[in-house]
Amino acid sequence: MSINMFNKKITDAYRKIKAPASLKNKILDMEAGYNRHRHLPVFSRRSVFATAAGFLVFVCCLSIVIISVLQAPVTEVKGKDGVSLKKSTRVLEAETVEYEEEKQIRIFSTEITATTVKKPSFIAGRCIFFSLKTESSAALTVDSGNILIYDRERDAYVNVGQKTVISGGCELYWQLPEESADSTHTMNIRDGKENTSVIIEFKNETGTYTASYEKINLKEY
Amino acid sequence: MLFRVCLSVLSHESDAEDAVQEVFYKYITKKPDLDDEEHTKAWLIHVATNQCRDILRRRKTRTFVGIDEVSESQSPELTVFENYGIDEENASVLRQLFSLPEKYKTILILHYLEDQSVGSISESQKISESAVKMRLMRGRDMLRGKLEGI
Repeated sequence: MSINMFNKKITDAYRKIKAPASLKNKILDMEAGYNRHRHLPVFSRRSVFATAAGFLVFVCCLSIVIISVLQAPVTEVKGKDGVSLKKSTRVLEAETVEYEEEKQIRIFSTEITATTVKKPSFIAGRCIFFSLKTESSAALTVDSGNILIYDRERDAYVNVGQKTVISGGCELYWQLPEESADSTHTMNIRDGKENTSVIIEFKNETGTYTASYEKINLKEY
Repeated sequence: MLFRVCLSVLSHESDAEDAVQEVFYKYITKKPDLDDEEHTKAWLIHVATNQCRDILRRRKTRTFVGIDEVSESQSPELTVFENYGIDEENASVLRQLFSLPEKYKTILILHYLEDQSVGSISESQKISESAVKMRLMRGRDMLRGKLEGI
């Protein structure tokens, strides 16, 4: 038999094979069903799971960010020599100032972290939390209020007045006096090479605090 | 056309229906970016033949047939043509064609019975045109041998 095996008769016979109508209907139903399903994205099971998972991830990330912001130290060490504060060229405006029952200051910013007092039974008043790290000893003075340094042995904050020497890492509160008018308070951290000043300004009219840093390299003088 | 191709490869109506459904399911859900009707046709044939090959592979690995059933299940294609009113003379030719190895019969059917050009087959089967021509030649020889033996 020659290649004539694929003559018109065979082709016609082959083309008698047709898909059943039920198959066409099934495919049309399938397409319609798929399109209906696609128009309900919000309540589809998959999207609910995806939304829930996304929300959980978002909450976790948000929690981590909030915790890290609240736990962040006020200052951090930069450079090898002596004590230094994270230098900021801009004046940091406190975003919010809240007065709680114990009248603790809550200042939220990237540089000065508001905090509730860790030992509320011991520390009262307007306190700003600092976490300082020094490689050599540095003299710490404030022109008003008191310094309360954390004592690991006593597991408590100890009032050291307006002057102390710090070395290594330490946590402290600067307890500010009661405010009745516009005022400025300064903290100086000074080692052999530089002097860093933290200036807190209180505006009675608005009841807000503004914090700024000044850093002076003593070698230049 | 897709049903015919699937049926000729699988020789089983329900399997052919399943294969066609699967092809359209993929088409509907994936929404391939195809330029024109020719490309769409090539895509559908490509997916259909792959789907048929999958079914054949599954059949090989999963089908366990009892001794008594062998004579009935060996040639499911025997009854296929009766359902479509194809007379015995033509059915015998098609039966021999359908009994060829899959890679040859697919090419022969697409080229001689579905009027697909060598270029289109090359595109849909993802093989070179020379490979298509080679399979056509070998497929013809194999079919000629089978038909001469009738």
